[in-house]
Amino acid sequence: MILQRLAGAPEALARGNGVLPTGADARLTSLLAEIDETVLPRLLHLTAGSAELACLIVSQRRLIDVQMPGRPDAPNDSDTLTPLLAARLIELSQHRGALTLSATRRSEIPTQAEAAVSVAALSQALTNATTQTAFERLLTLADAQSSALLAWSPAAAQPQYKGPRELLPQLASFAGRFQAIERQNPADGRVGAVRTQGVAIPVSKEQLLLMASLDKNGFAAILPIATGLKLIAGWQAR
Amino acid sequence: MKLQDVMKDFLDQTPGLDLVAYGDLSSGLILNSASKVACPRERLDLLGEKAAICFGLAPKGAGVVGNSWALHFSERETQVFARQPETSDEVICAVCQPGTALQPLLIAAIDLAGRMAGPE
Repeated sequence: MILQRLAGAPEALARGNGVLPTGADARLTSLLAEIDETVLPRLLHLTAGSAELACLIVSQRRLIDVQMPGRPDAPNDSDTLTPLLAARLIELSQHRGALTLSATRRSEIPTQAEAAVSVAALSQALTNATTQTAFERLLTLADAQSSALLAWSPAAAQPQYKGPRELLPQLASFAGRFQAIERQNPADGRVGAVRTQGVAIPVSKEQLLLMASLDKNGFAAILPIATGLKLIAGWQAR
Repeated sequence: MKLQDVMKDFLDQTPGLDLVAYGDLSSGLILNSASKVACPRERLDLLGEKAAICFGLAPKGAGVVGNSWALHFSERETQVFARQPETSDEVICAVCQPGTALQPLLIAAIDLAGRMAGPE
């Protein structure tokens, strides 16, 4: 594929007709694949309708910058560049509406060596960022709709609780048992699978207990059953 | 109707479902399953263990009966566990795609568990 790309026109994309998939994960996968198969210097233009959302500068299968209107150019430093570019790619992947990708030759010649990020490094940064973001989004959703919530994190000395005082011992007991199970089986049996996981069980005819964790962060919350079930599906569908 | 046919029907008729299995909570074993793509035994074993763990988290004590359902979820899938009656060790495990509406699936899975527990 890469050899075909070298022989192709600058406008040729490695994959498909330039219409990106609709899901955020699928979009990121497509963008990474395009970067990974772009050897010669290229500008990858990401557009929504007639508006250009971003221009990805790519060379030698590495991402040099994601230029977005109103945003500063990326720093010429690999350590700060990687999380910045990953964050911009995530933001772009979450754009509502259709996105298309097109390529042009990069005619500008850099005057100094440019920092660039490999697809492997980007993938790792994206995984870290998206898993953390997913957990925080779930926690935010649960916090907004729960009648009681107990959250724990290595950053906080004590678990944070909101809700009626009488529910705290019950939630703390559930959370303790949940944490013990997670400690026994942190990666769900899959090597490297550190991602948000959770359980939901009914605690009465009307309410469920939702517990979720990512690494050492977690929460336990009480919600109406229908609300909790919709929350899980909605969180996954995002 | 044979157990395998019942589960195959359930798999075919339930939107978003990738796998349905019938297991025993006391041993954590999956005894039968139907899936859209081949499922390795190791994954079925994990599913059986997960069902036992999730039901094990349920409240216990005076006046509390067992739960008829529990679920485990990640960003990639949801595992729904259902049993009927609520104290049964026989469990239906249903694995569905992310974003699948869970309430109708839970109702269907509990109904299936009830039918499995009933006389043949």
